[in-house]
Amino acid sequence: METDFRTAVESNKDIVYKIAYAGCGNAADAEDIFQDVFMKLLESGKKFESGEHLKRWLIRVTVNQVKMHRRREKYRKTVILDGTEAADSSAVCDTAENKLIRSAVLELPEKYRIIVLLYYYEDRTVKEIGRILRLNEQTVKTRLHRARLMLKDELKEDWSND
Amino acid sequence: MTDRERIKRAFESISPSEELVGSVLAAGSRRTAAGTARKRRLPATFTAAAAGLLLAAGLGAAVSGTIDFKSVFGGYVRVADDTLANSLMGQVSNVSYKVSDDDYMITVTGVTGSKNTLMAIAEISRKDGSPVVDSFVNKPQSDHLMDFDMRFDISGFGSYGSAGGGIGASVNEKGNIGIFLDISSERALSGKTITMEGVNFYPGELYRDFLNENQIGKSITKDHRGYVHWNGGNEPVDISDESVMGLPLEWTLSFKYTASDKALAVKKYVMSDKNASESVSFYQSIYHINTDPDGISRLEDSFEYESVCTVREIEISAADIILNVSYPLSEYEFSPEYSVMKSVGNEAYLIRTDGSRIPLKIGSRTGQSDEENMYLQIHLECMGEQDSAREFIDVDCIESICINGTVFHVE
Repeated sequence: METDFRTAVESNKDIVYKIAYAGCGNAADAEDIFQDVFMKLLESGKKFESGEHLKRWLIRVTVNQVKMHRRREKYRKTVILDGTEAADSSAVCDTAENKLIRSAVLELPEKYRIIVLLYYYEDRTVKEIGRILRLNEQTVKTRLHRARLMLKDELKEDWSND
Repeated sequence: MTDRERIKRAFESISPSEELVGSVLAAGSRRTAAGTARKRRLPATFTAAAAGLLLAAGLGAAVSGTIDFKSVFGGYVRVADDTLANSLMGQVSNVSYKVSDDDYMITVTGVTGSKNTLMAIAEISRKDGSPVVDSFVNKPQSDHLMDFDMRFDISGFGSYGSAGGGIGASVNEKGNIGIFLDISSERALSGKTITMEGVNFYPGELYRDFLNENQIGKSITKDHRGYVHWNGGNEPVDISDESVMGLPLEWTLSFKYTASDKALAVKKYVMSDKNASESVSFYQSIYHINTDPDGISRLEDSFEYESVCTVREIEISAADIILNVSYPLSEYEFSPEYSVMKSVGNEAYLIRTDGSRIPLKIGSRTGQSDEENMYLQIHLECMGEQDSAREFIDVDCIESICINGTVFHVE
């Protein structure tokens, strides 16, 4: 059980964290979501048919947790917005181009961000993304198309829309 | 380089720290060793802002003397009986504060609430007794306007899913600054140390407008912040385009809150096979939002949706009612196209032993979901029938609670 859990964490830590980060846009909230997702895995006692099945489940739970996080913030009465983000130590030494691309992706509406990450980073097909996010394929295509237009508009020559 | 390669490279460095992964693996080991799969959560790695940033010219501890409920909380919450009201005053201990200017002090005026609710009032005053408002000075916006900040933190809660509520400040009748904290939580607040802190005070609409204009595109933080309202004083506040009245002050206050025995008393309904009435309809307003490629959202449609909830537990205290329910996730719950409002169209009230009713208002909600169900904790507050003012009650007089027509007996 412990070995299984360790394997599950080690194999999926990056994608879970990246989706959490893309979803909420800052490291502090991404860390909270990361912990919650793997706690859910522990609590679920769920048996998975394969590593891919586990990964899809974790991605789905991460997306849910991102949405729950945003919803929970909405419920709070006296919350205002603020520009201070937790320091993202992992990205401090990154290149200017990487920061520019990342920033453009993070500026996208949330529903586009995660699709972009799954499509471009995770190499998921539109069909797979639809299954994971419970969206029909056309919706995924439309959002991907809109996201590309926004990225092209923001990044100009740094984005080729290939 | 292709777009795909660009994205991969851009996100390659976004990865969890070794400490974070280690904490999750350690939790897994503990859980395995314990042989159970109990809920929930890891200690969060991040806590709210550190008090150590303060320059701390003043350091001390103060709590006000014996005071009655009405004089402190009369403007915020009503209690029918004075004896009951005073029995709901909580205890304050381990008070400490720091301020950046040694001429100022902070006093906790009073606390009340229940196990899961806390109302606290504190006052920032000058040691020489002169009104604080006399020390407000004209400041160019560029100097301090961006620095205004108020927040609270609860010991041991970490940063996630901790508490909902608000913190605010106003100028009180003595011309000092009153700090008002009103929070509720899914976890016990009684016995916890509460820390509040802030930087600078600015009265008036100007600052609020400034915040509203500049919030677009920023992330929501986990911290709670408040506004300063200018309530008192006969002197008009001089706010021009170039300057705003303000008080430069960095402060932090912490204290331990302990609810009174009366405030901790509860009556409960717990789901059991013997009780047939464990499901209740819950109405939600669904808003269909369409967002165009430019990011402009429009309301396409709205309609009522009925969920059948399983009521798992209800806990009634003097200050709040906590309702734990679960229901199957609907197609609207996490859809980005829909916004779900849960407080509309529902009717809930307490029934006293004499048959009279106390209307309830739905407050904050927290929850989590698995792939099939939403598990929600709903916080309800009592309100007066005449003016909807918040009310604290005597739980001994409560016999049952009615939610959308279904009655649950409590004991």
